[in-house]
Amino acid sequence: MNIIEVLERAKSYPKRLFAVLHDGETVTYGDLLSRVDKLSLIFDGLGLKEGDKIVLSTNDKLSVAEITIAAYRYGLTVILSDPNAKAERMHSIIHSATPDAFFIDSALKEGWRIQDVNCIEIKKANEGKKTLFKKIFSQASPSHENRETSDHSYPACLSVLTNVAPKYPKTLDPSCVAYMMYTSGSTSDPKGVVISHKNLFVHLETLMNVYGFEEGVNILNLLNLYHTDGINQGPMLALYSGGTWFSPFKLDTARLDLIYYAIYKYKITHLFVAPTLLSFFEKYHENFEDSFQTPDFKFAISVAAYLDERLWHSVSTIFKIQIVNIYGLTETVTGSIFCGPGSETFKIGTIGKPVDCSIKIINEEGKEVSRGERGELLLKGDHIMVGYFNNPEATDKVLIDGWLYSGDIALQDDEGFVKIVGRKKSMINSGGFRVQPEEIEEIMLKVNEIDECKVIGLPDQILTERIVACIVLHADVKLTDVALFKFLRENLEPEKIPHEIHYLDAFPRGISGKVQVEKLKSLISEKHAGPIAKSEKALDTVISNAADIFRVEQKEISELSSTKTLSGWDSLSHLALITRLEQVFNIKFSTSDIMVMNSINAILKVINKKLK
Amino acid sequence: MELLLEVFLFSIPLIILSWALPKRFVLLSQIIITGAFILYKSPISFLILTFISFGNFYLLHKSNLKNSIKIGISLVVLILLIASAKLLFSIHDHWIIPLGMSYYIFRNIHYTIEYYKGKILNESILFYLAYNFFLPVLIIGPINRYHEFVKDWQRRRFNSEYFSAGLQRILYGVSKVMIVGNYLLTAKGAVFISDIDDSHAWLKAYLETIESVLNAYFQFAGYSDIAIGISLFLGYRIMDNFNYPFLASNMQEFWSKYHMSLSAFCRDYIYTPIASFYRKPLLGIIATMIIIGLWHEISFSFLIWGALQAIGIILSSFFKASSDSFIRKNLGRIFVLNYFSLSSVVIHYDELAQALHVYKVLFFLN
Repeated sequence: MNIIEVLERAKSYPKRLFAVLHDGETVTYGDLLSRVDKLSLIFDGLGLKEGDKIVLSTNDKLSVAEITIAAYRYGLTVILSDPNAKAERMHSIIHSATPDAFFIDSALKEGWRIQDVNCIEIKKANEGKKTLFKKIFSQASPSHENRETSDHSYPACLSVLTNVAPKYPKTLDPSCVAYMMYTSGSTSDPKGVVISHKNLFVHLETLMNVYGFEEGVNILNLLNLYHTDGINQGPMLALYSGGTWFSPFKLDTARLDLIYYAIYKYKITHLFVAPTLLSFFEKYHENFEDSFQTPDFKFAISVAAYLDERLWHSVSTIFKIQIVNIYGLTETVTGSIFCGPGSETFKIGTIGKPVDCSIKIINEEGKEVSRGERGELLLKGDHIMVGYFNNPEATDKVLIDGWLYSGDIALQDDEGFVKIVGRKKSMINSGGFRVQPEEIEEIMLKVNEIDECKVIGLPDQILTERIVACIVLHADVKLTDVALFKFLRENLEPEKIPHEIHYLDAFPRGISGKVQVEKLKSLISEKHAGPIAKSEKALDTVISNAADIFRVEQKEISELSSTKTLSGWDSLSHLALITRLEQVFNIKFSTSDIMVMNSINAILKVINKKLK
Repeated sequence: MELLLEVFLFSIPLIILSWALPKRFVLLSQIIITGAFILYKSPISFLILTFISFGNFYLLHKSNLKNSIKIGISLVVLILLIASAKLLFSIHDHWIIPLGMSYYIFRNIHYTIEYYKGKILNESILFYLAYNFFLPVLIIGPINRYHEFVKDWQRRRFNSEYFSAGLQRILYGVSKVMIVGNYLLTAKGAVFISDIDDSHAWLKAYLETIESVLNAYFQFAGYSDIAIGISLFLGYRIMDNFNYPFLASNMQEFWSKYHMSLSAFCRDYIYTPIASFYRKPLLGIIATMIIIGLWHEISFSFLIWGALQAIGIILSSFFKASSDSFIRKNLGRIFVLNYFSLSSVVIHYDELAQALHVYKVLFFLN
């Protein structure tokens, strides 16, 4: 199906919910269709024609979804731009993409200094929240002045359009560009991934088939809509499958309970998460272990980053759910290789098997390797991007004979399961975001005091990788972290700000003078190895004693095992464990300590406190 | 029966309003209707519960005292309240202790201890009042937990399955109370037993013992089913209170299936602290079971009853590790029914002397 057929089909269920958003705001397919129609008139009014490009950037989730869908229908290319982007980066994108119109939040127009006349400001009024008295006493019709401003503000501009026939092309060329996403690249060399209608809709079909979507799917996807997994596996996938997209609150790791509650409350069938969120699930689940045991819930889908095997097992066990993993890049719309939900493709620790695409793994010489051998993973299929916008050089580097060079080092086992074992590119995968270190380095080098800078990614339990900036200062200058972070916050999106900064006298270099990244990584890792090893030792001791007393295998116990998840941990054996640990560590627990020690983690915390 | 009818009567507007009102007024409506019910049935209980609810919330969340002092005051006041009520109003004097007090005091002790452990995540006077003023479980439990209550409230939605499950639970409950308890066991069974010729004194005493234990169980389990059923109608899943306790094959298992909300409460807040403080599990078991006894009534009979339960559990720990064969399991079940029934003789009679007399008959000591 293409966008025209999808929207045509939606006409048969106008009352069905398309989206459930903040404060319980609901949008039906009927509402969506009507807005798509009206938006075509707005596009027409702005003089836009098929193939033109618009910049879309707003914090309002519904506006992102409906403007994107309307633009696809009209044949426009949407440049999805994160409202958190800094002005300088935006200007470089605008310079590269030459958009014909802007649909952006009012605040961004100022912040990004957009002068363009073809600019619709997105302003959401809280109409629904008017009290009865305000409704009665407010003016019946907007004043002339209000109407003037409403022409260039969204969605106010829609309200004046009633019963006018929509204006969009009867057919659309599948090669027409649907969206562009600037994911990586430095300011001087931005890389916009170009995805055509064919790429997008072929892939939506794949996703729907792999997940086995039927009518009535309820997708909970709170991911950022300016990343492919947010927009394409949220509103677009809901639209394509005729389901409902739920994003009723902001993703907040301090309020995981909202997600747990939502599963039952909204009859969620599929939850999309990044591994970072799963590690929060693993840490904070007490009393919520039954959250996914509802008649409707099918499985969770881990996207955007490498899912660690231990975390995968752990979260699946705690919540008794299947976690499906999807491997892909922005360049492949979202996926390519799927692990689950079907048993024939499901093997925890691997990324599964390719669906609707071909893969090959090649060595340095460009030859295909045999099973079990490592090499770079290449992908080919109808969903692979058209290229990087106006950047043939970058495109030619990764797209050769229709094969996309993923930059990931992989191997394929005897049963055909693919496993990612490393990365060729310098890309850092942090908290579900793919971050190009060069982009951060470029900004950091603008600081006068910094002579050299290298940004690396180091493994992290929660973030997958944490961004570590290593810098060498000019001689005899000083730089405080506070000043540096202030500068970085002003010039970089939040997800790109380094988590750690290390000051070095010099970088380790090879004979050619090139910085040896691997050596630098191990240098920094060693610096941090001390305290971790110590607590790991305590963990081992606790686990081995617990295993002995509870009569279970050591491997069944992890840091997150609790009285609720581990059989054998009853109130009698609990006391036996406590007494044993007192002897082993030569400490004494108070009654209040013992009352909170209901998981291995909690026990470790108390022990560490006592040992201090 | 009258009380049950009144609970049903108040539950009807409670259920209708809980689905008809906008969400932000629902808890308030539950608090008001439950408040009106207690005020009508037992003004003194209304006053005590109101005092506890506001007092404990203010003390824990709003006062500037040191944490340990807050907890100390809260627990001392709650324990003094329940102990003095139990001493003032004895069941045998046909006084009813302030309606539902045994349950709501324990709910509040649970809240205070969870606060102390830092586990209260949603502090809100509205939630707290709604938790305390929740009609279905007010009078005879279960002693539901705060976080479960808040969780169910947060994720609450209209679910027709809850309605059918709720209706089923209420029907089961009413059947247990009316058909099994009132009709079969009391009206028919008791009459049958009393008709037994006095020459079969042992059989008569034995059957009476079993009958009274089963009757108490079916009545209590029936009321719990009704409470759980009404809660389901309101959109809350309340923890089960009984899980086929007489199918347990030892007394430890029995107490993990009988009056579960109370035994879980005592495990968490009495057994664990005492056993861990003294590092003596046996002491923990004895203290816990005696407190469970005294929770019913502060009297010598209940003290003995509690001690007998403790002995039963300690005995069962000796047999725990042995094999789980079919015969062993069923012998265990017979033992559990008889042990619990015989140990309960002590609380069935107003005077200890009467109970002693029955024991003499049962153990052929006459």
